[in-house]
Amino acid sequence: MVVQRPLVLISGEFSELPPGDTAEDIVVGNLTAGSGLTGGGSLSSNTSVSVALAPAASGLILIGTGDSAKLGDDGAAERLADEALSSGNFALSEATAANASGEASVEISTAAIASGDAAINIINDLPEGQFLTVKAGTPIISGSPVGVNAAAQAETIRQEVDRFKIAQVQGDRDFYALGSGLPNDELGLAYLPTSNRAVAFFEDDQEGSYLIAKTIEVSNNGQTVSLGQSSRVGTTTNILHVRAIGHPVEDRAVVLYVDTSNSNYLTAASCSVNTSDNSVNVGSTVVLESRATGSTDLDYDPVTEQIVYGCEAVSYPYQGHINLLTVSGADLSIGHEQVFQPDTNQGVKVSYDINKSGVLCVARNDESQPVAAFYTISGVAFLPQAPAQSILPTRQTNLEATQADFALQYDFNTGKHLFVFEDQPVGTYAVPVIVSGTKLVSAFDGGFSPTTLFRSNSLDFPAVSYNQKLNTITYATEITNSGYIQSLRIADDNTVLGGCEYVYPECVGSGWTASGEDIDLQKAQSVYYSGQDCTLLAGYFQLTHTFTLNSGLAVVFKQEHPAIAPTNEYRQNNFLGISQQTVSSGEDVVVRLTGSIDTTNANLSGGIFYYPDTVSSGLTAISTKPTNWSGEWQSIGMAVSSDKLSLVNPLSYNPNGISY
Amino acid sequence: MKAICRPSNHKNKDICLYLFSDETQVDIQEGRMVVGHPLDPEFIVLDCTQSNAVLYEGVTSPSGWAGWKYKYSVEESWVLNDEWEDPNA
Repeated sequence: MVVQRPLVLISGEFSELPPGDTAEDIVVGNLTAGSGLTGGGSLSSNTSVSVALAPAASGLILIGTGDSAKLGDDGAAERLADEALSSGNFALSEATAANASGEASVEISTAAIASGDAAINIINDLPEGQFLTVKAGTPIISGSPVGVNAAAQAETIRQEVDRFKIAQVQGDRDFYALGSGLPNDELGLAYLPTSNRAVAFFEDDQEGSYLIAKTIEVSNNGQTVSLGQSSRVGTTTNILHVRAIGHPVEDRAVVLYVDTSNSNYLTAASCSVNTSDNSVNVGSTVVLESRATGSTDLDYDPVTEQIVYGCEAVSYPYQGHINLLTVSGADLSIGHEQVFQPDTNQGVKVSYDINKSGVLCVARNDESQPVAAFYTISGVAFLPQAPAQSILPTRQTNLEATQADFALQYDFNTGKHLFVFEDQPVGTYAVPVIVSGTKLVSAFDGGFSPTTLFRSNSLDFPAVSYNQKLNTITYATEITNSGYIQSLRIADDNTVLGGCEYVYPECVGSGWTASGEDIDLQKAQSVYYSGQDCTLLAGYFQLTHTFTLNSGLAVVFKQEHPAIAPTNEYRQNNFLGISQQTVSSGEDVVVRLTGSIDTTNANLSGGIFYYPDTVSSGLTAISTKPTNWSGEWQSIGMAVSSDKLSLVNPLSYNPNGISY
Repeated sequence: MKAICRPSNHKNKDICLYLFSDETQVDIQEGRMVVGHPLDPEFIVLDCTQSNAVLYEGVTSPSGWAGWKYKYSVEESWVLNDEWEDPNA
């Protein structure tokens, strides 16, 4: 606090009163503090005022204290102003950049529009110039996939793949009568790779109802067949349940049959072929089992070089059993019998499993249900692995009680066994059976869904054989007086892929009967004739309109190899393009070629593949890409919109390295 | 007649499997049975051997003989096999 003293005049000079003195008669006023000041009061005392400052003052501040206190500026306002200026400049800069970006966007958008227009123009331009005008060999509907035949004429194509193709053997005759009389029962067929001959075993009443053996030789070009002279097997007549198989090491055909002249005992003979004249040398007949026998079946074990046979005892005790047959020239010997299913009701099949070195055996039980068991082979005996168990859901099948109308074939390609059978709803079905330890993975245990082969029962048991070159199973049967032959393969997902069903007698030719005439095929058997790469099918054919039985007519079907050039066949691999017009046979038709965008089909689904329909001239969609095995179908295009189909050449699709 | 039957120690005791004429040559060997001339047999039976088949000679044929239809033994002669069913029926 500053103490101010009153001024006095002493001796003419101003001075202050000495401390403690007081001026007399002096009137003292008051000091009033104005705005922004505090303090004040009577001047008679030490009165002062102070500057009042707001808390956290910014701008004018008091610097120093006491007498040295002075008002000053703290600079805050200047800083705020500078920041505001900087912010304004930054905003201005950003606005400039944004403007520039917007202009660039406009440029990009314009370019994109131009690119899209260009793409549309390209698509629209693609079909132009990729047409071919060709003469139609058949009536063609606009929008149909078409191919070219050997006469360079366009024909509508359907879904077919060469690898499945089964075509008739070309030649003057393509059926051959093995006998001339009435057959009695089944027919056996065996192929000998070394001799490159097949031997058929059948009964013919024109030859005293003896069991006859006859050589079948398919010529080198695979187009003609030569037959040898008849040779009798044994001295008895009226045989039943004939089965035959080739023993490749011994180069002999072994036949099994039931001899009704000898209490229905199971009998066998080992036969060889004289290739110089195609005669058959028949060894001594051998009774394998002195027991009444029903159905029989055979397969070959290449490891032990024995034949596995299965059969059914049809009188007490009823049972299905298997055994091994050793062949040494004309001599036969048997191993140790193994019963795998008691109470069988006809129908025993065996199938050797090369991967598991054993045999899968199937029999029908008293409830007409198929049961299967698996045994490995040790010497001349069997070792049980998988006991008899169901392979189909209970009570589902419609196996006839009096016929062994199911088939079993090992698939060397997948290591699975294919079981073909009848079922409800009425149809013929196929499902794989897989040996897995003590389990048989099947429709029963593995939940496999059987694949429908036909929506009808076959009238007799089917003939199955394995094509070692194409790795397919050949399946032949008769459905409602028409014969069918088809190639099958087991897919990875355990469905059964089927090739085109080839119908005979359409394929048989004029030597047999008119095209399309009804037939009745009985007791069919087939073998793969590796020497000529064809499948030999033999059976009894009956003309239903005359009911004249013809004994053992053999028909040869050649499974055409992909390398063989197409000869006037409808096939997918001939795909040329899509017809643009509906024309009659002989007229010119414009075809949009592969590599183009076809617009003749509507209601397409973008991204979906299309292939020729199985039976019609149209297209069938499939959502998945072709699998590794393209046996069933091949894409001829993929839809790029609802009315644009990008056509591709199926020949260029080569998923597994096979060249067509 | 000659009857070939399972022996008394066999599970199918006395079952008659074959019935041949007296003139037919039958040779039951260690591993098989040969019927007919040894050098040109009529047929060979692999499941009839010296250990599981016996030969009875001089028997009389029963009515409607068929394999497994009858049992035969010296003591009881021919006895119908109750379990037999005609496989051709």
